[in-house]
Amino acid sequence: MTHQILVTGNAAAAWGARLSSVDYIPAFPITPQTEIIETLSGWINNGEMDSHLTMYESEHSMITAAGSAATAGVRVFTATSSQGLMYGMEMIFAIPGWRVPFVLVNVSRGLASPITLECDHNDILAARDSGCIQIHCSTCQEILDSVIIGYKISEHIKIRLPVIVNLDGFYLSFTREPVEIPEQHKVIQYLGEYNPMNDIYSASAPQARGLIVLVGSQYSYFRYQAHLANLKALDVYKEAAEEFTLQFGRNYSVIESYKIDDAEYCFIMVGSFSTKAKSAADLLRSEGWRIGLIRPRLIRPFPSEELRILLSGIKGAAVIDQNISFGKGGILYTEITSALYGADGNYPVTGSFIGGLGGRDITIDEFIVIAGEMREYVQKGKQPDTRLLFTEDELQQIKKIQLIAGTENS
Amino acid sequence: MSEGLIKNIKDLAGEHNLASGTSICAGCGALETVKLFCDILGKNTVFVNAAGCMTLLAIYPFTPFSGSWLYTAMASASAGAQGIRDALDILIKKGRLSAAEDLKVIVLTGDGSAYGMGLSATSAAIDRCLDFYYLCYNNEGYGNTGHQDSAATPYGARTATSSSGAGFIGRKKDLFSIWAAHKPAYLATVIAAEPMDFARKVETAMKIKGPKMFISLAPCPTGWHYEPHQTVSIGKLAVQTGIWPLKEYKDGKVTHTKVIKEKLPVEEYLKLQGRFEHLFTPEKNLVLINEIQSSVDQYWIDI
Amino acid sequence: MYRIRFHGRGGEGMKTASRILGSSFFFEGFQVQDAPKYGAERRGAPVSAYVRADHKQIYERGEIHKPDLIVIADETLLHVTRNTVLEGIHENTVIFIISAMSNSELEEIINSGKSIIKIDPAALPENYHRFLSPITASASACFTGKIQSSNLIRGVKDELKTVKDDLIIENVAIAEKIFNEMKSYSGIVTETGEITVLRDPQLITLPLHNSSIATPVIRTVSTSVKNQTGSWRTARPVVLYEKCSGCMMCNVYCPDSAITKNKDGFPVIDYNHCKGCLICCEVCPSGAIRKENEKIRRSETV
Repeated sequence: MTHQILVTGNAAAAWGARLSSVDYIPAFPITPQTEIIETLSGWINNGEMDSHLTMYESEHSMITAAGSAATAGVRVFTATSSQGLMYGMEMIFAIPGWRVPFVLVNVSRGLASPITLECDHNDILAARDSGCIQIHCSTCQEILDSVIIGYKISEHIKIRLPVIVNLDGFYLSFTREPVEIPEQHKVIQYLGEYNPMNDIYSASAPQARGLIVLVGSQYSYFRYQAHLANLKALDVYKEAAEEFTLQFGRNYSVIESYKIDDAEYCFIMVGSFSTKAKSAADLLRSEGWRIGLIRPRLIRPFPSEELRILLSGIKGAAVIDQNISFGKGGILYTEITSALYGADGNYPVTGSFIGGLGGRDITIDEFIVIAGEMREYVQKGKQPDTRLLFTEDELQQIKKIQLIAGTENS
Repeated sequence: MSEGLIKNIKDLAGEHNLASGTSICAGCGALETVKLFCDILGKNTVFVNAAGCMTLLAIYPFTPFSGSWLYTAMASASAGAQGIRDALDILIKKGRLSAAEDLKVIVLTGDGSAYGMGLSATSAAIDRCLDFYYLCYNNEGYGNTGHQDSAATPYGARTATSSSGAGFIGRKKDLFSIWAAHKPAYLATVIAAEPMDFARKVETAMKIKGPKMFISLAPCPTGWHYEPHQTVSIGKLAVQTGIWPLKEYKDGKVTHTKVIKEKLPVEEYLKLQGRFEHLFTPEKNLVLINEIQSSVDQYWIDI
Repeated sequence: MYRIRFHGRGGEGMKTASRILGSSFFFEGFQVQDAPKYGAERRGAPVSAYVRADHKQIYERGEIHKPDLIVIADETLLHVTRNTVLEGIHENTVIFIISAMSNSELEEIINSGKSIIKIDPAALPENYHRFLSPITASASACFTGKIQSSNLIRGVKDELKTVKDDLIIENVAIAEKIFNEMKSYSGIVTETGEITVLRDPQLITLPLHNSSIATPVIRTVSTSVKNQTGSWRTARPVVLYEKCSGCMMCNVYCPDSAITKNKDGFPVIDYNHCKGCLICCEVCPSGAIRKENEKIRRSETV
């Protein structure tokens, strides 16, 4: 019997770990992730979950332990956010080379400086080149399901890479939505009992791991294998998602597309604000626009081919980045346009909009303006410059607080 | 290596658990330490390593170990050990690994990690009463990068980053006391040049559950600038001059395991090493030598 | 362009030699590249260094595969890493070696028919090991015929500016001596133009492998014995069994597990792995382990 309950995104992530029967949870608190480890700890302490949670003294240690425990043969879950992900980044880059599976949930939060507690995606995108697989979620249900699918991919013999499931701080982490909780036995049926394969230390089967490699050609081989495995995860993901649909009914293609079949225009974005893009598309459609949404769920591996198919024939695409690469612009925009450049086909004029940094809202009105601007550019036939979603009123507010801070004349 | 208790030094002779063919410097005091540790502890081990000279023990596809090994990172070997210990316990508890397959988990780091970057992770592992061994090979500097000064560099020693004047002007961190303040299950200073003292301590630790911490002074021909054949004699002098007190902490008490009645002057130890050459040439720096001597004397008065 | 490769052991000063030669060329107005090549190897392990010198900017980079001059500071390398030392010999390659072997022995070992210039250690000061950098650098400088002695000396001084004055004087003196003694070979090493022999590198498309092999993991034990670290040794310990009491202190203290016990309970030194630290000689209570000169013995066993 499946049933729906009202839970936060953090609780949904915890449910994903619980249903996946994880053995081990290295943990460290950080806002807005802490609720995940507290929820899991509560279940372990009251006997609802047969797992072991160890509190570490830093994310660097916590992620090291997630990797080391995975080399020792247990199913591992861990979670962090923002500065925590950055603090553990040495290991986020190191552990994919060990080729062991685990799922890490990252609750996106803007990076210092200035320090903030609110959401944007610079934290998770800093891990873009690490080798970890990245699944980006937009609803609480999707978080729970992605954790389960995450184990399926991570533990595949060809893959054996960590999977990061990303959810937005506050907008998902602390937001309750109805979530269907799958039955435990069906999840186990879907995932299978944990198979450590060769990744286990024992007296009779010693292994030396994480070894230094001092020859460039050997290093190239191992690094490129991790790349090939990450690429392969696209197929493995598709199989895992199909099987998930058969088992649980919900559908998770590598790219979610909304009202795109007849679309001339589209928004492209990841994360929870993409549901607002759906509202905006509905509103614009009521005024006669043919517009939809393209939302990549996978950022690594990057679904270039699937993206090209969806974008083919579209006239204007607005990429809305909730992140910024200083000195370049929106990271998603760069990823998307590089997938289109030089490809055969009829691809849209693309615009780059930076919005929602540090949890700043992106309003429906702004989506409408973005669509309007895109239409102008399509008519002119040129790519617009990068644009920050920022209002005159916001600038006036900044001036007021600078006055209070006594910095207006400096 | 004979099975069972080590009663005399001959019991340490024979086959060894750490194989030859490593890329470690000739005459390395740290390698001697690791070899001895492996012999006493046995083969059912997993070493968790932090960045340091001993990272080069295992270079793909070559390992000298009879057991397992994981290289983690400079700061977090103790956390890596916790992950493995926890995983082994989970597997045994859930019946997925037989208890006979269990391994001893050992963190292996140099002083750069132990005294500095890895101190936080290690402190936390002791707090959590992790059942593990920690072996710090202390060569008193960042040896693997050419011997720059670390928090374990002794006062007055020249290093690659303290090459002028009186040498290193800082004071060596008292890691023994810092670790002792955590009340670990067992803690000892050792040196491979005193193998019987070393063996007795490891054997004592093997009977105890919890954090078992070892700091081994590891004479380093490359960084300390002496000829490789002197490693054992310099090690013995470190003990005989009182510079490297051999002691253990157990049940809340610190005991000195080798009290030298007639300590040799520190000069005997210092003069053999190039890193202290400036104390003797062009003329003897009596002020500095006396300063080092009196700090050693004071230590032995205080205990 | 001149392409010159130095071979020695960690601690013998080949990096310094390459820098002295590099500086000397530079002071002479050449464009220069010099660099050491080493990995995880330590003192005693075979190492190399190289110098490129040209009249125009040098675009080549990395190891030298076609040397005009090969400098061998340690003849034992001809036994332990022969292929590396002699890699890429071409028709004009000159080999310079410090060796006690006879010319015919050397020719037989090197077996390339190329010019071999030898200095016998007997003709050098007893402590010549400490001066391998100025000896090899100055000989090389002389062989090119393009470097004046003043620029060589400037190179030596420049490289040694942090050491004590008397040591600089000693280094300069030996550099000058060798430079003069090698005068008859001035110009024997010649430049080679761009290396244009191209071959298909046979690039492949790397396939995906299973994760269990596509990571640096070892699923067996004690594989390090395949590394013959005996090649690092410059002096060897020899057990004098008539004096040996079988106490096995040597076995206990050997850091490298390179001393085993024979069936009679006496130590046997594993020369394939012994790095020659000589701790065993020092700890032996009966004085039953003698230090012997590695080079002579190695030559004997060729």
